[in-house]
Amino acid sequence: MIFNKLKKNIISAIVMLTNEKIVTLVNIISTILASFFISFGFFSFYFSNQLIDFLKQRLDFSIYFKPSVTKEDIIKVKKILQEFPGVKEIEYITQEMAFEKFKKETQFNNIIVKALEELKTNPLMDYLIVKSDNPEVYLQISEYLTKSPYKNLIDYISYFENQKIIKRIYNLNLQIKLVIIGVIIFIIIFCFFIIFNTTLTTINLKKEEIEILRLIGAENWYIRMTYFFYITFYSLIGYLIFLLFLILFLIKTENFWINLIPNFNPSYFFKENFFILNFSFFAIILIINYLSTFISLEKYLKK
Amino acid sequence: MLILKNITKIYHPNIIALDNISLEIHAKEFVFLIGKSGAGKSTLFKIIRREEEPNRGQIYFKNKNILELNRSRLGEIRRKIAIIHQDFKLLNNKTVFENIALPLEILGKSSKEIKEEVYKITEKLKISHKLNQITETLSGGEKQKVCLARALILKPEIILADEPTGNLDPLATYEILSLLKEIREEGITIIIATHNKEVVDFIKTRVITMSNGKIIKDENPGKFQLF
Repeated sequence: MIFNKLKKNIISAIVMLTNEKIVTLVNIISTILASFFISFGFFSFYFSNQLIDFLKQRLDFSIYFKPSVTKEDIIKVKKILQEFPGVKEIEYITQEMAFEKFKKETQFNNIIVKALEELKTNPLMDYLIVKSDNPEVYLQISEYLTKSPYKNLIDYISYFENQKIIKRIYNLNLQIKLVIIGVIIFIIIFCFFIIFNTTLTTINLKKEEIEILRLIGAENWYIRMTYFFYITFYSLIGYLIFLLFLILFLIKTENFWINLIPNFNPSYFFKENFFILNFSFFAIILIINYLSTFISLEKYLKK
Repeated sequence: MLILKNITKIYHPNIIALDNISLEIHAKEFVFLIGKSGAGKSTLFKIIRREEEPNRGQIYFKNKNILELNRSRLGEIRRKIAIIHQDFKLLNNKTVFENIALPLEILGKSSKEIKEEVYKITEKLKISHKLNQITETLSGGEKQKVCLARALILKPEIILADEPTGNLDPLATYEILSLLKEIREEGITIIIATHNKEVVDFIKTRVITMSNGKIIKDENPGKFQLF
């Protein structure tokens, strides 16, 4: 019995999909737009997080040692610096570790990968990464090291001369994130109202049919079920079209992103998280479409 | 079978559509509800099927107060108390078969069962030869037969007929009234709302007269007879 009801509703939804061509088209376009803005928002966040990570790496205070310096000397310096007030952590990165880290960071950059393969030697050096929540500590350490007896061991100190610029970028990034959230909320509301209104038009066209269904004793859930399948079908069509465009876009722009920020590869990220990402995006789309439709449908199901 | 107690319906701002209506309809009864347009006949039908909520009063259908029923059970009540209208309320772009089959599809019956039931009912109403015809192309009398078939297919206990002959010629009117009489003989209660005195004259039966939302007369000749 339930199977027959489901079958009947699926058929009705398919008939509605094909009969109400213009409304269905508008709903599909709205779904594509909503999918685009949701994914745009998501990837913008991913991009800004990667950008922050990239900048944070540059924010780290690193002390690079000359190749002749022994591990014992480096550990001695590390112990002294650990005593500095405000120092959170000091990480010792050996030449080998630095090389591995670099290879990992540049895995998507074919030019660097090829260059490393051809080089066959490790051009990097041992270094210490000092981490502190207070950037002033870096300045104190920097001044101390340049005056201390260990100054001859040090090749260079990557003190962030551009601290103010990076801070500004950091703040700007936060502001951009807020703007993105605002724009996405606005667009989602906009899509919600487009779908709400197109559904209202569909329901208005189907007003008589709904009235007849209620007349002959159809329960509200039965009427809703046809719309449930209709929404699911057009949302699926809209999302699949969007997905096709997204995949093409990611493939075409893969090199552009890697060159913009090392280690930022949305295409790779999308492939790795294909199911969870698409499931989440599609779930959000369905929620928007179900909500807008059921709210507009409710008016006719009150009696 | 159907008892209405002190039913009052007031529309905004202060239009009294039904004013303290009380009446009892017995099983297998054939009742005419007459009155001018705006007397409250259609509102009364809507309230009996809970398409509208009264402001006051109770409605008992087989000893159950249907106003206390959960909304999810309204479909059940509407299937037991079927209705046919003057404007037919058919899906005009669908075939006769599709229109009559619709209530059974809602119940989730199988295609085989639906075909059998639809054929049986259309045979009875003599419209089985029209099954594949688009409803829009039917005459008024045929459309009303389709409505009747759609109502009967659910085996209702009461049929409310709201001006069922309003759009029909005298011959079709007589045909529909004769069919309703036959249906009543099978045990289904029939209540016909009409403002047409000629329709009432077809059948000698109980006549309830309404005016300005009130019952002003309830006459029962005692003997049911088709003139």
